[in-house]
Amino acid sequence: MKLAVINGSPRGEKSNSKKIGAWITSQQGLHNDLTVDTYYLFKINRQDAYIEDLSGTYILLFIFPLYVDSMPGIVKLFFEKLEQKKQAFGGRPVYFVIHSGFPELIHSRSLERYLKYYATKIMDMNHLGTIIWAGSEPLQMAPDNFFRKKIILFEGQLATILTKKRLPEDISEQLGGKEHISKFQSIIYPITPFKDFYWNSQLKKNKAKKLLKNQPYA
Amino acid sequence: MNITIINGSNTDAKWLDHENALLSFAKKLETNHQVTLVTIKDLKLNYCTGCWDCWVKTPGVCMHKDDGPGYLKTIVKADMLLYASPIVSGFMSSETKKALDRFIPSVLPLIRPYEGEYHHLKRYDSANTFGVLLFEDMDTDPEAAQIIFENFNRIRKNMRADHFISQLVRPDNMEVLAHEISRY
Ligand SMILES: Cc1cc2nc3c(=O)[nH]c(=O)nc-3n(C[C@H](O)[C@H](O)[C@H](O)COP(=O)(O)O)c2cc1C
Repeated sequence: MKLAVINGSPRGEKSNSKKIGAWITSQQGLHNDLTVDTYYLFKINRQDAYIEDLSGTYILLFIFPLYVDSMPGIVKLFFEKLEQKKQAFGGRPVYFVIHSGFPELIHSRSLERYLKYYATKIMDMNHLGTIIWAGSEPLQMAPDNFFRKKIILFEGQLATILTKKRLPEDISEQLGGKEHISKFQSIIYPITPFKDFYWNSQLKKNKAKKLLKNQPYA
Repeated sequence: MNITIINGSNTDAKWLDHENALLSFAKKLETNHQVTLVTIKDLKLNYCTGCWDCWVKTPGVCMHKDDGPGYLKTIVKADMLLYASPIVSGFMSSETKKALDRFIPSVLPLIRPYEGEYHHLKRYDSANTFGVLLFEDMDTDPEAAQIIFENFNRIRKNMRADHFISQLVRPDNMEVLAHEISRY
Protein backbone atom coordinates (compact mmCIF):
# COMPACT_ATOMS: atom_id res chain seq x y z
CA MET A 1 0.00 0.00 0.00
CA LYS A 2 1.26 3.49 -0.87
CA LEU A 3 0.37 6.74 0.83
CA ALA A 4 1.39 10.10 -0.65
CA VAL A 5 1.61 12.98 1.82
CA ILE A 6 1.35 16.10 -0.32
CA ASN A 7 2.65 19.07 1.66
CA GLY A 8 1.22 22.30 0.26
CA SER A 9 2.92 24.74 2.59
CA PRO A 10 5.09 27.42 1.00
CA ARG A 11 7.33 26.94 4.06
CA GLY A 12 8.06 23.40 2.88
CA GLU A 13 10.29 21.44 5.22
CA LYS A 14 10.03 24.07 7.97
CA SER A 15 6.26 24.04 7.96
CA ASN A 16 3.60 23.22 10.51
CA SER A 17 2.12 21.07 7.74
CA LYS A 18 5.21 18.89 7.88
CA LYS A 19 4.74 18.37 11.63
CA ILE A 20 1.11 17.41 11.15
CA GLY A 21 2.07 14.96 8.39
CA ALA A 22 4.69 13.40 10.68
CA TRP A 23 2.08 12.97 13.43
CA ILE A 24 -0.40 11.27 11.11
CA THR A 25 2.21 8.86 9.77
CA SER A 26 4.09 8.26 13.03
CA GLN A 27 2.60 4.76 13.42
CA GLN A 28 3.49 3.68 9.90
CA GLY A 29 5.83 1.00 11.32
CA LEU A 30 2.74 -0.93 12.43
CA HIS A 31 1.73 -1.48 8.81
CA ASN A 32 4.05 -3.94 7.09
CA ASP A 33 3.32 -3.32 3.46
CA LEU A 34 3.07 0.47 3.72
CA THR A 35 5.22 2.98 1.83
CA VAL A 36 4.85 6.67 2.70
CA ASP A 37 6.23 9.24 0.27
CA THR A 38 6.16 12.98 0.87
CA TYR A 39 5.87 15.57 -1.89
CA TYR A 40 6.56 19.28 -1.35
CA LEU A 41 4.52 21.53 -3.62
CA PHE A 42 6.69 24.57 -2.87
CA LYS A 43 9.15 22.95 -5.30
CA ILE A 44 7.07 24.33 -8.15
CA ASN A 45 9.40 23.07 -10.88
CA ARG A 46 8.86 19.52 -9.70
CA GLN A 47 5.08 19.61 -9.63
CA ASP A 48 4.74 18.03 -13.10
CA ALA A 49 7.06 15.17 -12.16
CA TYR A 50 5.12 14.64 -8.94
CA ILE A 51 1.91 14.21 -10.91
CA GLU A 52 3.52 11.53 -13.06
CA ASP A 53 4.60 9.77 -9.90
CA LEU A 54 1.23 10.11 -8.19
CA SER A 55 -0.68 8.65 -11.11
CA GLY A 56 0.34 5.26 -9.62
CA THR A 57 -1.64 3.66 -6.83
CA TYR A 58 -1.21 6.13 -4.02
CA ILE A 59 -3.83 7.15 -1.49
CA LEU A 60 -3.58 10.96 -1.49
CA LEU A 61 -3.31 13.01 1.70
CA PHE A 62 -3.03 16.76 1.14
CA ILE A 63 -1.88 18.91 4.08
CA PHE A 64 -1.68 22.68 3.76
CA PRO A 65 -2.33 25.94 5.64
CA LEU A 66 -5.14 28.39 5.05
CA TYR A 67 -3.81 31.34 3.03
CA VAL A 68 -6.07 34.36 2.68
CA ASP A 69 -9.16 32.22 3.24
CA SER A 70 -8.28 29.40 0.86
CA MET A 71 -5.35 27.29 -0.30
CA PRO A 72 -1.88 28.77 -0.93
CA GLY A 73 -1.34 29.80 -4.58
CA ILE A 74 1.14 26.94 -5.13
CA VAL A 75 -1.56 24.44 -4.14
CA LYS A 76 -4.05 25.97 -6.57
CA LEU A 77 -1.43 25.76 -9.30
CA PHE A 78 -0.99 22.06 -8.51
CA PHE A 79 -4.76 21.45 -8.55
CA GLU A 80 -4.92 22.97 -12.04
CA LYS A 81 -2.08 20.78 -13.29
CA LEU A 82 -3.66 17.71 -11.70
CA GLU A 83 -6.91 18.38 -13.55
CA GLN A 84 -5.01 18.12 -16.84
CA LYS A 85 -4.27 14.48 -15.90
CA LYS A 86 -7.57 13.72 -14.23
CA GLN A 87 -8.13 10.43 -16.10
CA ALA A 88 -5.32 8.90 -13.99
CA PHE A 89 -7.01 9.90 -10.74
CA GLY A 90 -10.66 8.82 -11.13
CA GLY A 91 -11.94 6.99 -8.03
CA ARG A 92 -8.72 7.70 -6.14
CA PRO A 93 -9.09 7.97 -2.32
CA VAL A 94 -8.22 11.50 -1.21
CA TYR A 95 -8.06 13.19 2.19
CA PHE A 96 -7.32 16.80 3.07
CA VAL A 97 -5.96 18.46 6.21
CA ILE A 98 -6.27 22.23 6.32
CA HIS A 99 -5.06 24.27 9.24
CA SER A 100 -5.30 27.95 10.01
CA GLY A 101 -3.80 30.69 12.12
CA PHE A 102 -7.17 31.90 13.40
CA PRO A 103 -8.84 29.66 15.99
CA GLU A 104 -12.34 29.50 14.46
CA LEU A 105 -13.51 26.81 12.04
CA ILE A 106 -15.61 29.30 10.09
CA HIS A 107 -12.48 30.65 8.36
CA SER A 108 -11.88 27.30 6.64
CA ARG A 109 -15.43 26.20 5.87
CA SER A 110 -15.58 27.77 2.42
CA LEU A 111 -12.30 26.09 1.44
CA GLU A 112 -13.61 22.79 2.84
CA ARG A 113 -16.63 23.13 0.56
CA TYR A 114 -14.40 23.79 -2.44
CA LEU A 115 -12.12 20.83 -1.71
CA LYS A 116 -15.09 18.49 -1.77
CA TYR A 117 -16.27 20.05 -5.03
CA TYR A 118 -12.81 19.80 -6.59
CA ALA A 119 -12.26 16.18 -5.54
CA THR A 120 -15.69 14.91 -6.57
CA LYS A 121 -16.94 17.15 -9.39
CA ILE A 122 -13.68 18.17 -11.06
CA MET A 123 -11.47 15.13 -10.41
CA ASP A 124 -14.00 12.29 -9.92
CA MET A 125 -11.95 11.18 -6.92
CA ASN A 126 -13.22 9.35 -3.87
CA HIS A 127 -13.27 12.18 -1.30
CA LEU A 128 -13.11 10.62 2.16
CA GLY A 129 -12.95 13.67 4.34
CA THR A 130 -11.32 16.94 5.32
CA ILE A 131 -9.83 17.72 8.72
CA ILE A 132 -9.71 21.35 9.81
CA TRP A 133 -7.37 22.31 12.61
CA ALA A 134 -8.22 25.87 13.52
CA GLY A 135 -5.37 27.62 15.35
CA SER A 136 -2.20 25.79 14.27
CA GLU A 137 0.17 28.74 14.45
CA PRO A 138 1.23 28.10 18.10
CA LEU A 139 3.06 25.06 16.69
CA GLN A 140 5.86 27.51 15.88
CA MET A 141 6.00 28.72 19.48
CA ALA A 142 5.17 25.85 21.84
CA PRO A 143 6.72 22.39 22.33
CA ASP A 144 4.91 19.35 20.88
CA ASN A 145 3.90 18.22 24.41
CA PHE A 146 1.50 21.09 24.46
CA PHE A 147 -0.51 19.42 21.66
CA ARG A 148 -0.55 15.85 23.06
CA LYS A 149 -4.29 15.28 22.72
CA LYS A 150 -4.31 16.56 19.16
CA ILE A 151 -1.29 14.46 18.26
CA ILE A 152 -3.03 11.31 19.49
CA LEU A 153 -6.10 12.18 17.46
CA PHE A 154 -4.01 12.78 14.31
CA GLU A 155 -2.10 9.52 14.85
CA GLY A 156 -5.38 7.67 15.14
CA GLN A 157 -6.47 8.71 11.64
CA LEU A 158 -3.79 6.66 9.85
CA ALA A 159 -5.71 3.39 10.26
CA THR A 160 -8.83 5.04 8.81
CA ILE A 161 -6.85 6.41 5.88
CA LEU A 162 -5.12 3.15 5.07
CA THR A 163 -8.42 1.25 5.09
CA LYS A 164 -9.85 3.96 2.80
CA LYS A 165 -12.64 4.70 5.24
CA ARG A 166 -14.37 8.01 5.76
CA LEU A 167 -12.95 10.31 8.45
CA PRO A 168 -15.32 11.01 11.37
CA GLU A 169 -17.79 13.77 10.44
CA ASP A 170 -16.93 15.70 13.61
CA ILE A 171 -13.15 15.30 13.41
CA SER A 172 -12.56 19.07 13.28
CA GLU A 173 -14.66 19.58 16.40
CA GLN A 174 -12.84 16.69 18.10
CA LEU A 175 -9.65 18.65 17.47
CA GLY A 176 -11.10 21.36 19.64
CA GLY A 177 -12.32 23.64 16.90
CA LYS A 178 -15.17 26.03 17.60
CA GLU A 179 -17.16 27.47 14.71
CA HIS A 180 -17.10 31.05 16.05
CA ILE A 181 -15.65 33.00 18.94
CA SER A 182 -18.17 33.85 21.62
CA LYS A 183 -19.62 37.34 22.06
CA PHE A 184 -17.75 37.50 25.36
CA GLN A 185 -14.41 36.70 23.69
CA SER A 186 -14.94 39.32 21.05
CA ILE A 187 -15.59 41.94 23.74
CA ILE A 188 -12.80 40.89 26.07
CA TYR A 189 -10.07 40.25 23.47
CA PRO A 190 -9.27 43.88 22.62
CA ILE A 191 -8.59 44.60 26.31
CA THR A 192 -6.56 41.44 26.99
CA PRO A 193 -3.03 42.53 28.06
CA PHE A 194 -0.80 40.04 26.18
CA LYS A 195 -2.72 39.73 22.93
CA ASP A 196 0.09 41.20 20.79
CA PHE A 197 2.94 39.67 22.77
CA TYR A 198 4.16 37.24 20.10
CA TRP A 199 4.29 39.84 17.32
CA ASN A 200 5.84 42.49 19.53
CA SER A 201 8.55 40.10 20.70
CA GLN A 202 9.35 39.09 17.10
CA LEU A 203 9.54 42.72 16.02
CA LYS A 204 11.74 43.54 18.98
CA LYS A 205 14.07 40.65 18.20
CA ASN A 206 14.46 42.05 14.68
CA LYS A 207 14.87 45.64 15.93
CA ALA A 208 11.78 46.57 13.95
CA LYS A 209 9.34 47.39 16.75
CA LYS A 210 9.04 51.05 15.79
CA LEU A 211 8.19 50.03 12.22
CA LEU A 212 5.20 47.87 13.17
CA LYS A 213 2.68 50.23 11.56
CA ASN A 214 4.97 51.32 8.75
CA GLN A 215 3.15 52.35 5.54
CA PRO A 216 5.85 52.10 2.86
CA TYR A 217 3.41 52.44 -0.03
CA ALA A 218 1.08 55.17 1.28
CA MET B 1 -12.80 57.41 -6.36
CA ASN B 2 -9.72 55.24 -6.95
CA ILE B 3 -10.68 51.92 -8.48
CA THR B 4 -8.12 49.13 -8.86
CA ILE B 5 -8.94 46.09 -10.97
CA ILE B 6 -6.68 43.05 -10.74
CA ASN B 7 -6.89 40.80 -13.78
CA GLY B 8 -6.01 37.27 -12.66
CA SER B 9 -6.51 35.56 -16.03
CA ASN B 10 -4.25 32.69 -16.93
CA THR B 11 -2.81 32.29 -20.43
CA ASP B 12 -5.80 30.31 -21.74
CA ALA B 13 -6.93 31.97 -25.01
CA LYS B 14 -10.49 31.04 -24.05
CA TRP B 15 -10.73 34.17 -21.89
CA LEU B 16 -9.36 36.70 -24.38
CA ASP B 17 -12.77 38.23 -25.15
CA HIS B 18 -13.38 38.63 -21.41
CA GLU B 19 -10.00 40.29 -20.97
CA ASN B 20 -10.67 42.71 -23.82
CA ALA B 21 -14.07 43.51 -22.36
CA LEU B 22 -12.37 44.11 -18.99
CA LEU B 23 -10.13 46.65 -20.69
CA SER B 24 -13.17 48.47 -22.11
CA PHE B 25 -14.85 48.21 -18.69
CA ALA B 26 -11.85 49.96 -17.10
CA LYS B 27 -11.85 52.64 -19.84
CA LYS B 28 -15.54 53.28 -19.31
CA LEU B 29 -15.04 53.74 -15.55
CA GLU B 30 -12.26 56.25 -16.24
CA THR B 31 -14.90 58.78 -17.27
CA ASN B 32 -15.77 59.34 -13.60
CA HIS B 33 -12.95 57.70 -11.61
CA GLN B 34 -9.22 57.10 -11.38
CA VAL B 35 -8.80 53.53 -12.59
CA THR B 36 -5.80 51.19 -12.52
CA LEU B 37 -5.92 47.83 -14.26
CA VAL B 38 -3.17 45.38 -13.29
CA THR B 39 -2.71 42.12 -15.21
CA ILE B 40 -0.95 39.64 -12.96
CA LYS B 41 0.39 37.38 -15.73
CA ASP B 42 2.28 40.41 -17.16
CA LEU B 43 4.11 40.97 -13.86
CA LYS B 44 7.04 39.17 -12.34
CA LEU B 45 5.28 38.12 -9.15
CA ASN B 46 6.55 35.23 -7.06
CA TYR B 47 4.42 33.06 -4.82
CA CYS B 48 4.33 34.04 -1.13
CA THR B 49 6.73 31.86 0.89
CA GLY B 50 5.04 32.43 4.27
CA CYS B 51 8.22 33.88 5.83
CA TRP B 52 6.42 36.78 7.56
CA ASP B 53 9.34 39.14 7.02
CA CYS B 54 6.66 41.62 5.88
CA TRP B 55 5.26 41.58 9.43
CA VAL B 56 8.26 41.14 11.71
CA LYS B 57 11.46 42.15 9.87
CA THR B 58 10.59 44.78 7.27
CA PRO B 59 7.00 45.69 8.19
CA GLY B 60 4.89 46.32 5.10
CA VAL B 61 7.64 45.24 2.67
CA CYS B 62 7.78 41.76 1.10
CA MET B 63 11.18 40.10 0.89
CA HIS B 64 10.70 39.16 -2.80
CA LYS B 65 12.56 41.40 -5.22
CA ASP B 66 9.92 41.45 -7.94
CA ASP B 67 6.97 43.55 -9.12
CA GLY B 68 5.24 43.20 -5.72
CA PRO B 69 5.76 46.84 -4.63
CA GLY B 70 4.00 48.21 -7.74
CA TYR B 71 1.12 45.78 -7.19
CA LEU B 72 0.82 46.72 -3.51
CA LYS B 73 0.90 50.45 -4.30
CA THR B 74 -2.10 50.10 -6.58
CA ILE B 75 -4.14 48.08 -4.11
CA VAL B 76 -3.45 50.16 -1.01
CA LYS B 77 -4.53 53.40 -2.70
CA ALA B 78 -7.83 51.86 -3.94
CA ASP B 79 -11.19 52.88 -2.57
CA MET B 80 -12.68 50.02 -4.54
CA LEU B 81 -10.66 46.87 -5.18
CA LEU B 82 -11.94 44.32 -7.70
CA TYR B 83 -10.35 40.99 -8.59
CA ALA B 84 -11.32 39.59 -12.00
CA SER B 85 -10.81 35.88 -12.52
CA PRO B 86 -11.75 33.04 -14.80
CA ILE B 87 -13.03 29.86 -13.15
CA VAL B 88 -10.24 27.29 -13.35
CA SER B 89 -10.65 23.84 -11.83
CA GLY B 90 -13.83 25.13 -10.21
CA PHE B 91 -12.19 28.01 -8.33
CA MET B 92 -10.42 31.34 -8.87
CA SER B 93 -7.30 30.97 -11.05
CA SER B 94 -3.90 30.30 -9.50
CA GLU B 95 -2.77 33.73 -10.82
CA THR B 96 -5.56 35.36 -8.82
CA LYS B 97 -4.73 33.28 -5.76
CA LYS B 98 -1.04 34.15 -6.01
CA ALA B 99 -1.93 37.86 -6.13
CA LEU B 100 -4.27 37.55 -3.15
CA ASP B 101 -1.58 35.82 -1.06
CA ARG B 102 0.76 38.72 -1.84
CA PHE B 103 -1.76 41.08 -0.22
CA ILE B 104 -0.50 40.13 3.26
CA PRO B 105 2.07 42.97 3.69
CA SER B 106 -0.83 45.42 3.52
CA VAL B 107 -2.35 44.22 6.80
CA LEU B 108 -0.83 44.30 10.29
CA PRO B 109 0.00 41.14 12.22
CA LEU B 110 -2.19 42.43 15.07
CA ILE B 111 -5.55 40.72 15.45
CA ARG B 112 -8.85 42.20 16.62
CA PRO B 113 -12.44 40.98 16.26
CA TYR B 114 -14.32 42.20 13.19
CA GLU B 115 -17.89 41.15 12.38
CA GLY B 116 -17.66 38.62 15.24
CA GLU B 117 -14.48 36.89 13.98
CA TYR B 118 -10.76 37.34 14.50
CA HIS B 119 -9.13 39.31 11.67
CA HIS B 120 -5.97 41.32 11.19
CA LEU B 121 -5.99 45.10 11.45
CA LYS B 122 -5.49 47.16 8.30
CA ARG B 123 -2.08 48.72 7.67
CA TYR B 124 -3.57 51.35 5.38
CA ASP B 125 -6.90 53.09 5.31
CA SER B 126 -7.62 51.21 2.09
CA ALA B 127 -10.53 49.90 0.06
CA ASN B 128 -13.89 49.91 1.73
CA THR B 129 -15.44 48.14 -1.24
CA PHE B 130 -14.05 44.81 -2.30
CA GLY B 131 -15.28 42.44 -4.93
CA VAL B 132 -14.91 39.80 -7.56
CA LEU B 133 -15.77 39.78 -11.25
CA LEU B 134 -16.00 36.15 -12.26
CA PHE B 135 -15.65 35.35 -15.95
CA GLU B 136 -18.70 33.40 -17.11
CA ASP B 137 -19.08 31.22 -20.17
CA MET B 138 -21.30 28.35 -21.29
CA ASP B 139 -19.45 25.86 -19.06
CA THR B 140 -19.83 27.86 -15.85
CA ASP B 141 -21.25 25.71 -13.06
CA PRO B 142 -23.44 27.82 -10.74
CA GLU B 143 -22.23 25.72 -7.78
CA ALA B 144 -18.59 26.67 -8.48
CA ALA B 145 -19.57 30.33 -8.86
CA GLN B 146 -21.41 30.16 -5.55
CA ILE B 147 -18.38 28.68 -3.76
CA ILE B 148 -16.09 31.35 -5.22
CA PHE B 149 -18.42 34.22 -4.27
CA GLU B 150 -18.67 32.85 -0.75
CA ASN B 151 -14.90 32.61 -0.58
CA PHE B 152 -14.43 36.19 -1.76
CA ASN B 153 -16.90 37.36 0.83
CA ARG B 154 -14.60 35.81 3.43
CA ILE B 155 -11.65 37.65 1.92
CA ARG B 156 -13.68 40.86 2.13
CA LYS B 157 -13.83 40.35 5.91
CA ASN B 158 -10.09 39.69 6.01
CA MET B 159 -9.64 43.03 4.25
CA ARG B 160 -12.15 44.70 6.57
CA ALA B 161 -14.08 46.13 3.65
CA ASP B 162 -17.70 46.98 4.45
CA HIS B 163 -19.13 46.57 0.95
CA PHE B 164 -19.01 43.56 -1.33
CA ILE B 165 -19.48 43.23 -5.07
CA SER B 166 -19.80 39.78 -6.66
CA GLN B 167 -20.73 39.50 -10.29
CA LEU B 168 -20.61 36.95 -13.08
CA VAL B 169 -19.29 38.83 -16.10
CA ARG B 170 -19.43 38.13 -19.82
CA PRO B 171 -18.09 40.28 -22.63
CA ASP B 172 -21.67 41.42 -23.28
CA ASN B 173 -22.63 42.53 -19.75
CA MET B 174 -19.55 44.41 -18.56
CA GLU B 175 -20.68 47.71 -20.05
CA VAL B 176 -23.87 47.64 -17.96
CA LEU B 177 -21.82 46.86 -14.87
CA ALA B 178 -19.46 49.76 -15.62
CA HIS B 179 -22.49 52.01 -15.82
CA GLU B 180 -23.77 50.80 -12.42
CA ILE B 181 -20.37 51.16 -10.73
CA SER B 182 -19.85 54.60 -12.24
CA ARG B 183 -22.76 55.84 -10.15
CA TYR B 184 -21.10 54.73 -6.89
C1 LIG C 1 0.26 34.62 3.32
C2 LIG C 1 -0.43 34.01 4.50
C3 LIG C 1 -1.81 34.06 4.56
C4 LIG C 1 -2.50 33.49 5.63
N1 LIG C 1 -3.85 33.59 5.66
C5 LIG C 1 -4.55 33.06 6.69
C6 LIG C 1 -5.97 33.19 6.77
O1 LIG C 1 -6.62 33.74 5.87
N2 LIG C 1 -6.60 32.68 7.85
C7 LIG C 1 -5.93 32.04 8.85
O2 LIG C 1 -6.56 31.61 9.81
N3 LIG C 1 -4.58 31.89 8.80
C8 LIG C 1 -3.87 32.39 7.75
N4 LIG C 1 -2.51 32.26 7.71
C9 LIG C 1 -1.82 31.55 8.79
C10 LIG C 1 -1.41 30.12 8.42
O3 LIG C 1 -2.50 29.34 8.03
C11 LIG C 1 -0.74 29.48 9.65
O4 LIG C 1 0.34 30.28 10.03
C12 LIG C 1 -0.27 28.05 9.43
O5 LIG C 1 0.04 27.47 10.69
C13 LIG C 1 0.99 27.98 8.57
O6 LIG C 1 1.29 26.62 8.34
P1 LIG C 1 2.58 26.11 7.56
O7 LIG C 1 3.76 26.34 8.49
O8 LIG C 1 2.33 24.65 7.33
O9 LIG C 1 2.70 26.87 6.31
C14 LIG C 1 -1.78 32.83 6.67
C15 LIG C 1 -0.39 32.80 6.60
C16 LIG C 1 0.28 33.38 5.55
C17 LIG C 1 1.78 33.33 5.52
